[in-house]
Amino acid sequence: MRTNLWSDLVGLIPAARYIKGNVIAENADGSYTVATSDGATIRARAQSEQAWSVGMGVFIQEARIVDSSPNLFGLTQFV
Amino acid sequence: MAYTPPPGNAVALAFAGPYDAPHGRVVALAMRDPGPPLPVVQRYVAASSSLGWAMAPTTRRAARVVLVRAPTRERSTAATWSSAERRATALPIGWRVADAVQRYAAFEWSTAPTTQMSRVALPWSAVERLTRGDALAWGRPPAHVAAPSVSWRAPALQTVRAAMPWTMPAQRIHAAASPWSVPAQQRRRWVLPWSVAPRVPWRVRGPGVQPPEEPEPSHYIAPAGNRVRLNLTCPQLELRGSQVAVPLGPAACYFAWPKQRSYIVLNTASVVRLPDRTPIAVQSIQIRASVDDVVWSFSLQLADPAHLALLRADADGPKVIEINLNGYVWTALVETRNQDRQFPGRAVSIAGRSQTALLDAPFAPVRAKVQDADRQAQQLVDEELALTGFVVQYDTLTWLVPGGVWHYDGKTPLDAVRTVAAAAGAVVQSHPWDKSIRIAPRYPVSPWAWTTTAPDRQIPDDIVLRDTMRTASKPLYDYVLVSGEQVGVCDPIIRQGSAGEVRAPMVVDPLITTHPVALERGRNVLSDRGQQDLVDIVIPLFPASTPGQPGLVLPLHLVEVVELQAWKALAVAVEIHAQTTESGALVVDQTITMERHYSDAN
Repeated sequence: MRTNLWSDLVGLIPAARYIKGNVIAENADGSYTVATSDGATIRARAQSEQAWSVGMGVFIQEARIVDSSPNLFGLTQFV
Repeated sequence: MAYTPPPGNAVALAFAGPYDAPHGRVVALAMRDPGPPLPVVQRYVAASSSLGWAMAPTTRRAARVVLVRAPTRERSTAATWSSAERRATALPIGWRVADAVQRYAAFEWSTAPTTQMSRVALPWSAVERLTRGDALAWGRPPAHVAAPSVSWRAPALQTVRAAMPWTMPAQRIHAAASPWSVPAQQRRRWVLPWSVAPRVPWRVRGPGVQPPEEPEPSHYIAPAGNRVRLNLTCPQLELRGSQVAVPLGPAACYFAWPKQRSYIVLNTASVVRLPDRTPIAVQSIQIRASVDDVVWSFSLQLADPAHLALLRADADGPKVIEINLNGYVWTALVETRNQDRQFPGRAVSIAGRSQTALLDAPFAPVRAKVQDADRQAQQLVDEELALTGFVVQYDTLTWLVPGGVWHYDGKTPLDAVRTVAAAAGAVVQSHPWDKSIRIAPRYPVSPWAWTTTAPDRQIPDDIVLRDTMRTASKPLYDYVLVSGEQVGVCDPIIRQGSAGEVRAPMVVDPLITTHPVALERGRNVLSDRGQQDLVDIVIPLFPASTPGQPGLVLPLHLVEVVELQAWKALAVAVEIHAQTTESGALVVDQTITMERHYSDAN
């Protein structure tokens, strides 16, 4: 039986989404405009001492660019 | 006396008594202890004397005490009381407002002339103290009498009287008199002659009454040859395209469903402690499982509080109990024991999970792992369960996971298995009683294929004790992007026949390494869409040996509810409840939570 109520509560919170996209612009306030792979456009900030250039693939979590993403092969499938 | 050994090998003997030396070289040694001294004889002289004993002469002495009253003596101190002479001493102190005294001290402000002073050396010495005092005469101000000019007096007493005449209303008497009289007695007499009734005439009319035709039997009668009779009088389902629903199954037509007048369920329940199978008396049992939870949850209320001690964990770990309800068996770890003692009763209950909980906290520690070699997803699951005693029933897709992709930190074995299963959109389910887990897709069949899929269970509405419903609709997604992280594929999954414009949130999972797993993950994501209801139905838990009745319904079962328009739904949770009533009867029923889709199914 779990006795740590805090860990039980945190466990109920779903993990933040991991979003994949490409940097399309660098804004004046230091943020980046990212076009996600499913067609949306969002803004995200880089972590400290990190810089990204336009065209790079990135992963975004909670409005933060957390990692670089490679260009993976895609195949449209139907169900 | 200390013994002093002589030189050489001689021994000094000290004889206390007189020694008689024998002849020759013989030495006589008195080795025996002397006997105890004889007691000294004492002589006594016995003499007796007697004294006469008698009663002493009685001496009487009387004293007479005379009681007389003492003379009363009165002593009083009288102080004369009178009114003292009045003495009036008035000290008039006049009070008035003192005259204002104002005093100004004005000093003209100007620039002081510069004083040219030569440097003068003054000797340092103590300055002579100068005392200067300003004495102000203190005196009493003259009295000023200012009498208040507001006279106080009581207002004139005014009496206002309001007199209301009080009179008795005129008495009014209404009398309604109805004459009472004895009504005239009326008598009515029926005279029925008693006699032998005449015989009923027997007549034959016409050529005879044609009886109605016998109805056709309701059961199916196969026509001759290789033909099949279709009962198309039942309501037809409207299927898409050119499909035609042919009601061949027993549940295809509600009217053809065999309906019983009554359902009889003989419930049985037993709880024993393993492995010695010690019986545990219980009052109620609650068992629950769902697709979102790997393990079964148990809650039991004990009938005998003394049995609580039998279920205390010991050095071998928590106790395991076996529950048998109508032939269905569960095993559970007793994890918590609760007691509520209140005069005059005592209620005890236990709770626990199925044995799969041994793979999770707090029984299993968290681990870290990096798999550098290529593995199939099923192999990754097998590695997690190695040396645990558990086996896995793998009923979903398996795919290749390249080396270095599968790594984690801080996961229990069950967490790791869940992570692998979730990559393919699958869930982990625990076996009710065995050390086994099953990995199956969250949607074994997509809702758009339910109408053409044979159900796992059929539930006629006759046996439904209660049903409730709540809405759980979602957007009608038709597109989802499923991607790996650093390795793998990034596939858009689109619902067949749609434009792919309503996009579900993107799925990024490091284990999406092949197109098949991306397709399977996307299929499960898009299956959870559209207008949905969560329907709870309560039905009896028919014994496992009862043919033709839905027994235990498990999560992920495709259930068909047979009513006027049959519909199918996916069971997502089940809760079995067994209760002993006050009359001693055992009631066992199950509540099935089903996910009914309207956008993709009926």
